[in-house]
This record gives sequence, structure tokens and C-alpha cells, in this order.
Amino acid sequence: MLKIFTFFLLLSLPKLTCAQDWKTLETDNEMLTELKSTLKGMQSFKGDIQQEKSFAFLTEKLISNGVFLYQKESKLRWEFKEPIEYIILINENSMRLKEEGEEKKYKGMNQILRQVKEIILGCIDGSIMTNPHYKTVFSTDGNSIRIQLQPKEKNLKEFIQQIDVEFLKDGSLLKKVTLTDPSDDMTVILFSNIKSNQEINEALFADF
Amino acid sequence: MKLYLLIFSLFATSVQAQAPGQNVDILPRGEEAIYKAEFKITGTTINGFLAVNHKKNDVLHVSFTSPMGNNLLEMRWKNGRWKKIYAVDKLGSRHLFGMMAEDILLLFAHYQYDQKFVDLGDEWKWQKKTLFPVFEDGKLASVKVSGRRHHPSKTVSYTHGEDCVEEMSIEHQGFPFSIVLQPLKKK
Repeated sequence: MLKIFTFFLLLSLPKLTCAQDWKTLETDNEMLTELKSTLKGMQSFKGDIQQEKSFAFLTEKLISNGVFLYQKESKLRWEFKEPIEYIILINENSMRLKEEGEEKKYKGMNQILRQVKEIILGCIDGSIMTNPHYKTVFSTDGNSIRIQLQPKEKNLKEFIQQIDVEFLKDGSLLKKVTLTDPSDDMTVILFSNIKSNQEINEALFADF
Repeated sequence: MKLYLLIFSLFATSVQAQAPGQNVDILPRGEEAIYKAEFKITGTTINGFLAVNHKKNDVLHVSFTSPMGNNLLEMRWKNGRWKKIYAVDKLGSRHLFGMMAEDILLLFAHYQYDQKFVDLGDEWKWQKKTLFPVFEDGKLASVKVSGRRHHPSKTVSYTHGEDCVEEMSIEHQGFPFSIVLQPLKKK
């Protein structure tokens, strides 16, 4: 009898330990108010990023590694070091790109970059939580706070199906952003070694 | 005479394009790869990654994605036809899409899986085009593609490494359009 009980206990153990029960949060929940307030006060943010792109029709994944720097307001340095060197510099309204030592002109692709910029900056400063262009659902599993966003407008729906943003509950630090394409391909951006509200050299946002 | 020509043409289509030992498979059947990609389209450069899967049934599934991970173009070639799954406005126009789709088939030498492909030995016929392959050390080094009169020709070039193609490109003569692909090194 004990053996049978142990067997069933072992079978159910992975489910018990791995399951993430996300509970929906109301918009006026205290946790969200605190998150909003912390993000609003975010002056700077830097850390390592790992971006993992998975294709629905491919077993291989595209993994990019780099660093991420943010300075209030709207200053961003998004730098991939591998598999290719790629830097996106955003300084207020200007946007520059450099690939493997060469600055690139992205005529016609600016709309896409602007969308990505709005999403990422919105995740850092918290403005995405109240972005009227998205239908928003908030939830928590106890350790993290998750915001799920679905675009309302047709032009955004063509570009992205869903955005999932996860913050650590303690410290309100950005942990993970998952972008789901209309074709169900997913891009997961993981943030680590995060340091917030520390001084960052301004020159890093001005030039490559 | 007609019977002789018919037999000859049937024979010609069944003969393999390459001499023994020569390889025209850029991405063999059942394999997949991710390439660093650069598309130059009439003055605009679009960089990103091209994910390609050559399925066992010779379906070619292709997705072009930006370095930030969002899809720019996704399409699938099956039974001699491309199906556009997704394309951003910049790449989605009929003319541009048609050109890119054809160039991808040319780059991966995937035309050889099209029923309309005819092998005449030193030259190949495909979709009213004549393809002139050049082999070096038994490997496909380049293919010059000539279309109808007054249509610009294209050249596909391959740089081979020790065990794989290190770079492949296609350039249109007299028209500012090119694609360069380099496979990402697997870890």
C-alpha cells in the first residue's frame, strides 16, 4: 500500500513542484500599484540579455546574447554580442543601428523598430501597463507579476499577437519578455544581472 | 524524328544535373539551418536571420526575422508554388515578394525539386530561364541565370568551406537587388 502511495506521490511530484498557478489581479491591486510606482521611479537599468527566438517549423533556436542599458527618459542601448554584433541606440527620438562595425540605414523598417522600442521602453518604465493600444491582463504566481498584452488595432495585430512581460515581485525588476508573432513563433528575452538606478555613462547612448 | 526527340527529351530530364561526385544540394533534404542574412532592395538594406527548413517531402519553409526577433517574412514552397504566410508591408508587395521567392529557390538550388526543371547537362532550364552552372572541385560554385530578352540576368555564387557552404549570394545585373546568406556556426 505504501509502495503504491509512494509511486503516485512521485508521479504527481513534478506537477506539484513545476506548476505555475497564475492568479488574475484586478487593476487596483496593491501589487500593481507598487510595481507601477517603482517603475515610474526607475532612473536607469542595466543588465545582461539572452534572446531566444523559436520558429514553429524549426527545431533549432536562434539565441542571441548581449547587454541592455536604459536611462530615463527614452535612452536605450541594446547590444547583442553574438551570434552577430548588433547595436540599437535610442536617444529620445533618434534611432541608430550598427551591425558588425558598420552603421546601417533602415529606411522603411523604422515602423517595426518604433513598435519594438515602444514595447521595450514601456516594459521598463511601466507605461505599457496603461497603453491604450493593448488589452491587458495582470496576474501573479506569488513570486512574479505577469502582464499579458494583446493589441487592439489591426496594424498592431499584424505585427504581434501577444506580449507577456514578467517582473520579479520583490524589487519589481524586469525578468522576462515574451513576444508571440502572428505565426506563433516566439521570442523570449531573459534579463539577468540587473542593476537599477545606477549611474550609466551618457556617452553610451550617444554613440556606438 | 518526333519520336526520337521525345525519347531524347525524356532522357534529358531524367539525367542528373551534376557529373558524378558533384553536389548541388545546398541544404540537403531533411535538414534545417539559420543564416545571417542581408537583403539589399533598391537602396534599402535589411539585415536579419533567415531560418530555412528543407523538409523530407521537399517542402521549403523559410522565415526572415529581424535581429530583434520579429518576423519580417515567412513563406513556404510546396508543389512548385510559394505560399506567403506573413510579410511586413515593406516586403509584401507582389513584385518584391515574387522576386525574393524566386531568388531563395535559386540560392538553395531548390528549383531542382520543381517538376518544371529540365537538366540539359551543361545548362539547365527552369521557368523560361536558362541556368549555367559552374562547378569547382565537384561543388557548385556559381549559377548564371538568364531570363527572357531585356530581362536582367542574375548570378548566384557559393563560397565553400571545409564541410559546408560558408557564403552564398545572388545579385541582379543592372538592378539594385541582392541577398547574401552566411550560415550561423552551430555550437
